[in-house]
Amino acid sequence: MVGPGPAPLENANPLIYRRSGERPVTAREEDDELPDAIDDREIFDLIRSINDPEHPLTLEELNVVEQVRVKVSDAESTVSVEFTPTIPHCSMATLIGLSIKVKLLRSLPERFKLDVHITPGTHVSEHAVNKQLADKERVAAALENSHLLEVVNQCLSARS
Amino acid sequence: MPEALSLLCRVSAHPESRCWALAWSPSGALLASCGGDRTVRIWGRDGSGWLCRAVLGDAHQRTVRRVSWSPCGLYLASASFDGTTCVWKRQEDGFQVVATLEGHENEVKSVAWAPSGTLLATCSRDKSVWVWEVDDEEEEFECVSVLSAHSQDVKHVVWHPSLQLLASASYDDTVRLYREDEDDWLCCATLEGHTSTVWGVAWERSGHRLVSCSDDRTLRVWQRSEPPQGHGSGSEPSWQCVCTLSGYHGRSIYDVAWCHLTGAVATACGDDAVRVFEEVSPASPVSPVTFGLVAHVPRAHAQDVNGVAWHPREPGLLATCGDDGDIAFWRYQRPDGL
Repeated sequence: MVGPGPAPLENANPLIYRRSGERPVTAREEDDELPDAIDDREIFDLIRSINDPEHPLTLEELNVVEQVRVKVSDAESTVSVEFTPTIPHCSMATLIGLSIKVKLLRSLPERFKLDVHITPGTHVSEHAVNKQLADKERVAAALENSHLLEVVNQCLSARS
Repeated sequence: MPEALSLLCRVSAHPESRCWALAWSPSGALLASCGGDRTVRIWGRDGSGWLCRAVLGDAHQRTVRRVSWSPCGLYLASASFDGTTCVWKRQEDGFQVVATLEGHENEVKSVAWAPSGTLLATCSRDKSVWVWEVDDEEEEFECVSVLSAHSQDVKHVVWHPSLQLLASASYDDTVRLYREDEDDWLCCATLEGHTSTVWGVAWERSGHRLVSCSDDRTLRVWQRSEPPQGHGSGSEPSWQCVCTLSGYHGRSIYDVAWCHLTGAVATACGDDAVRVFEEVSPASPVSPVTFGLVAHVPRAHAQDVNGVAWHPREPGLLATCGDDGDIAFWRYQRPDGL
C-alpha cells in the first residue's frame, strides 16, 4: 500500500483549515450516573488529530476529516466516516483511510461496525480504495505487515 | 421463525483473536478451527460439550485463514497469510507437519482437498490458484498447474463433491471453474453476476449446482446446463445463475455451506447473524428456482460471523465461528410445512 523512501510532495501547498475548539461539556455528561452514548463529536475527536502521512499537519487541519462527515448510531453499533483526500490523485488515500480505521478499531468497543469511505466524487480511485478498506481480510493482512504497521502508528502517534 | 436453529454449546476457541474458519473431519469426529492467533485447534466431543484436543501452534508465522481435511481424515492442510500451506499428519499423540507448500507470492487464502485425495488446491492474494499432486506414499506434493484466470485476490477454493472440478471465488467479483485437460488444467467457466467480492462457494451434493456468497450482500445459485446436442465435442457445460437471494443480509456474507444431508444452506454474515435457507418445492416443472429463509439468529455471535460448517454425518448439526473468537454449535430443525 505504501511506496518506499522519500518522494516529492504530491500536494506541496495544501490549504490549511482552523482546528475546532474543545468539546463543550454538558451537565448531563458530568453526571456519572447517566450513560453517555457515543456521538459524532466523540468519533471526530478520535480521528481529527491523526497526522497526515506527508505534511506535519493533522487530518482536521487539511480538512480531510470533518465532523459533518461522521455518522454514529450507538444504538445500532455503527460508525461511518467519509474522508476527503486533499487532491483527487492522492496516492496516500488508502493509508489515510487505514489509519482512520485502525484508530477507531483500537478505540471503540468491539461491537461497532466501522465503515470508512472516500467522500463521493473526491478521488479518481474512489471505488478501488473503498473496496480495499472494506475488506477486513486485507486490512487484517496489512496490519500483520510490520513496515506498514509502523507507518500507520506514525500517523496515529501524538506529536510532541 | 421459532427455534428452527437452537444453540447447543458455545466455546471460546481463539480468545483475544478472531476465528476465521472451521472444517469437520470426514467422519465428523473432529472439528478443526483456525484464526488470527496463528494456530489451528482440533475439537472433539466431550459429553454434551466440546473440548480442545490439540493446538497446532508452531508452524505458521501469521494468521491461519482456512483449513481442509483429506478425504481419508489422516491429513489436515492449513493456509496462512505467511504465504505457506502446511500439511499435518494425525498421529497417536497429536499432529505433525509432514510438508510445507511454498510458492505463492503472498497470503494464502484458502486450501481444499479433492474428493479423490490425490489433488490439493491453494489460492492467494497473488491472484493465482495452484493445483498440487499428492504422493501420499512419499508424503510429497508437486505443483502441477498455476492458474491465473482471476484478475484479483482469490478468496476461496473448493472441489466438486465427486469430480476433479475446482471452483474459485475472487475479489474480482467472479467465480471460476477449472478442469484437467490433457496434461494441464484450464479455466472452463466464468460465473459473472456478483457486483463485489465473492467470499465463498459451496457445492450441492449432486454437483449440478453451486451457491456463492458475496460482499454485495447476495447469495447466487448457479446451475449447470449441458451443451446442446450436435455441437462439437469441444463445447463445455455452461453455468447459469438460476436464483439470487437479496435483501436478507445486512452486511458482507463471508461464508456459505450447503448441507449434503438435508439440502439446507447456511450463511455467515458481517451483521453477526446466522441464517438458513431451504429450497421451496416448485409449483410446476417450469417454475423458477426459489429459496426461502427458514432460520435467522440475529446475534449469533458478538461480532462478524466468518465461518459456517454442516456436520458431515449428523443431519442438522451446524458449527459457526466469528471475530469474537468463539465457535458455536447449533441444532437446526427444518420447520414443519416445507
